[in-house]
Formats: sequence, C-alpha cells, structure tokens
Amino acid sequence: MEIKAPIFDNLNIKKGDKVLITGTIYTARDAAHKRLFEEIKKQGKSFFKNFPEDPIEAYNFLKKVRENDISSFESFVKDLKLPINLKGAVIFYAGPADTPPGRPIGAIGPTTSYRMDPFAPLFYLLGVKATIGKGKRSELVKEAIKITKSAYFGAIGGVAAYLCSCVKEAKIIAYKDLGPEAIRELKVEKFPAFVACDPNGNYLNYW
Amino acid sequence: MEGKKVNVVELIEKVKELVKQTCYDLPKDVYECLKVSKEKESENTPKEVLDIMIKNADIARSESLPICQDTGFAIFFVELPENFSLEGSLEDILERIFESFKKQNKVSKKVLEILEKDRSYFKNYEALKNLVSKYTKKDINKYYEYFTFENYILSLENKPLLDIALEQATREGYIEGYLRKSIVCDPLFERKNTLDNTPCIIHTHFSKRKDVKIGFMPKGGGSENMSVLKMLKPADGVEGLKKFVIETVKNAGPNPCPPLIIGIGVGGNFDYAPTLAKKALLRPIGNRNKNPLYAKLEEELLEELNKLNIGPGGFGGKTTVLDVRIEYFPCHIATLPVAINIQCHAARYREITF
Repeated sequence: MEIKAPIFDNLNIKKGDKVLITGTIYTARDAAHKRLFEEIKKQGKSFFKNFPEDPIEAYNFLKKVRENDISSFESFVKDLKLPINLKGAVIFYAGPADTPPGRPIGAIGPTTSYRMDPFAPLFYLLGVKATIGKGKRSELVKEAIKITKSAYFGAIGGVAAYLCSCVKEAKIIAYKDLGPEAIRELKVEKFPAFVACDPNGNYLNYW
Repeated sequence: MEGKKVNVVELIEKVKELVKQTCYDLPKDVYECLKVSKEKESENTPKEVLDIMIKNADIARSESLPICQDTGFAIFFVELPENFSLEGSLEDILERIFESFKKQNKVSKKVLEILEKDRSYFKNYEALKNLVSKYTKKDINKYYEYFTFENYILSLENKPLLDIALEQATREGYIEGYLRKSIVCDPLFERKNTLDNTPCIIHTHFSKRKDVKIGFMPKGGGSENMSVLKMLKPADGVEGLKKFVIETVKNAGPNPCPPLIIGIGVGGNFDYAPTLAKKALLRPIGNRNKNPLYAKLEEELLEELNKLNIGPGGFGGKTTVLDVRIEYFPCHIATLPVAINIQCHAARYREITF
C-alpha cells in the first residue's frame, strides 16, 4: 500500500501490511529527540504552570489535558514552534553515513527504536503520525499510537545501500552540529516498510 | 633462515582496501545463504525482505556503498609467521597520520601552522613528539589519546608499529570510503566521537603459516547489544545451554537485524568464552565443528531457532538464523562459561593474505 507523507488522512492499515512511503519525512535519533523535547518543555512551561521535567510525565500530563480540556490542548499544539512541523509528520530513526560525491545522501537505515521510547509517546500526542525504525517498542508507545490513531513502521535493518536509493533529496534543517544525528528532511520514493504497530494498537509478535 | 618481511606502507595500503571492500561487499557464503533461504520461505513477507537484502548486497557491491550504515567497530584478526618482521619505521607514516587527523580537524591550530611550514618534523619522531608536547592540553583531555593529533603522537612512543599501521589503515579506509564513524573516545563520561573510527580492536597471534593473514570484521552496535555472557552451572549441561541460547535469541527479537549468525563460545573462562564466540563468527556458513558432538548441537540449535518465527527483519518467517557455530575450550571444574555473540545478516568479514 502507498503511504503519502506527511500523513493527513486516516490510516487504513493493519499490522503486517507492507507499505511504500513516498513524500517528505524527517530523520531524528537520540540527540535530536533530546533537543526537541527541551524546546517543547520550554514552551510547555510558559503555557502550563506545572509542565513536567520528564518526557514520559509530560506525555501523561498532556494526555490528561487532552481528555479534560481539549481546547487548551489544541491551542498549545497550535502555538508550538519547533524546527519541524509535527502535525502529520513521519519521523525516521536514522543517522546516515557520510555522503559520497554526486549523491543526495550516504548509506542510511533504521536504528533500534527503543532508545527513542521515552520521547515517542509525547511526540505522537503532539501530531506525529508515524515513526520508522526497527525493533520492539514500550507499552506506552503502543498506547500513544492507539489513542492518536497513528502507526509504527518497521523498516528493514542492514539494507542501507538499498534504502539510500529510495532517498531522492536530503537537506539538514536543524541541529547541524549533531552531524549524523542532525534533523534531515528527506524526499523519499517508495521507501519500503511493514506495519509493526497499527492505529488500533495491534502489533507484530516480538515487536 | 630468511624471515617474512612486510613493508609498513604496503601493509597500510592493503588493509585500507580490505576495510573498504569488507564494508561494500557481503561475503559470498552469506549472500548465497540469503538466496537459498528465500527459496525455502513460503510466505510473501519473508520472501520480499530477503529479496531486498539480496538486492541491497548487489547495489552495495556495484556502487561501492556500505551494506549497512553502521560500519561498526573495526576488529582485526592477525596471524603472523613466527619469523615475521615489519619493515620500515614510524617516520615512514607520520605524515599520512597527520594528513588524516587534519582532514577531521583534529590538529590544534598552532601545530597545524608549524607542520604545514616545516614538514621535516615527520622525518623525526622525537622532534615531532617534543613539538606536540608543548601544545598538549594538560587537563582531562590528555587521557583521550584518540581525540587529538597531539595526544595521539605522544601515545605512539609505547605502541608497536603493526598496531599503529592498522589504526592508520582504519582511519584512511573509513574517511576515504564514506563509512560511518561510530566510536566515542570515552564509554562513560565524554562519549565524544573520535571522528575516524579509531581505535580498533586487534587480536594478534603467531602461527605456523608462511604468509601473513589479516581478517577484518566491522561489527555493528545493534547486534553486539543483544550479545550475552553467562556463567552456567556445570550441572546445567547441554539442556541449560540450549535454553540459554533460545531465550537470548527470543529476547533479542527483531532488534539485532535477523536472520542472524549465532557464535557461541563454551568453556575457557569469563574473558575467553566471548573470544571463542567471536572466533566462531569467523567460520564460513555451514562449516560445522570438527567434534561431532558439537556439530550435532549446532544443527539442533539451528533447527530449534528457526522455529521461533522471528524471521527476516523480524517480520516473521522460517529464517531466523542463517547459521549457529560453537567453539569450545577446556574449563575449570567449577565452571561452565557460555558466551553468545550475535551477528546480523550484514555479516561482514574478509581476509587477506600476503
């Protein structure tokens, strides 16, 4: 099934489905997640008086706001200013190798997702519609996917030469100093992945 | 008797190519095994995933791209003839060491200025050492010898030329080959990237060979993270070992990029069992242990693990492991050390002899 990124429509997919992603996606891994959260926290603290320090607590806090006071939640999300627009965003957990001359990007592939688990529930709540990575996720990530009707796509690890041929354009859009961990905007064509966790929170065995 | 002589510059050139080729070209046995495994799968998903893995190897080889973006920790397995000697001196390679550090901006401004003007320093290690020692930071940084040119030069005083040559080959191979630099200078505190993928891990042994053999394995972080060492009780026996292996692969699930190669080290002691496990990863696919008891155990584990349905990429299927290999060694009456070293399907390893 073809998926257009960013994703603004309902995802009509189920676990195990093969997807081919075409459009604009963002790379972000450990260090970029930490920085994005710092920016969210700063703005959270000026919007709510008791916005938590910890990303998981921040998720639980905003989840309650969303349940009890949807208009306040929506105006916070609307005012949020980040280097990338999280609404409908597809985030790829990846840090590429160096770019050889004449190519848009070097070898690239998914890194293991669990290291981003502390941040992912919050990011889903703030509008991220899918993440791409490899490996198991925490229960809280699966819960966030279910309540936001989003998805986790499992990409194939160790096939970086193949995947870099699906990337047609790439540019660094934030945190350049992080090198391979900088946030990059990628234009991808038919990037292959499988639905590891679907919008109903159903996930593949072992994931 | 005429000894085996190898020139240090020649060694760097050969090993640099070995480093790049290993990262671009999947070993033939692994490639063929992926093809055979694809035929054995009946469902669409595992067939498709294996097909992408095969195509990936083709693209990487023909376009000189890394098979996987994680081009790993550089590990060398060196076997030397007993009469081996390395020809040449440190002064033959100091300038190329400088050039590599310069490319990664690891030379301090002052030292760079002086050396660009006066290249004669490269012909005399003592003079170069005296120069850089004036510009070495006296703070905590001095402990990180791989982070700056100055610290590295000072550390060479006590290092064998063979190790220096292998480090330089790694540096040049990773920089010129657009391979990812994944090594940090301190595991716990600083975690600053050394920017050239050094240091490397070097296992050197003398052998009865007449030639020099150098094996290179760039080992990725994802599969190392899922590797485990456990001190079993002698009473746990074969069944205990099997249970431990199956649990380890199950727990790892999709994380280490299956289909996997499982290297198992049994016996020795706390530090030797993991070395045996890594050595097991160097054997080609299907190369069974010479001891029929261990060969049978390898076959049994291969069959059991492929029933787990983790499958290629972790998306389900019959191919969870491509091979299981065991290396064993005598051990203490009170112990049964078992180490499991997990290797991903991008099982890169290559040897050269000269």
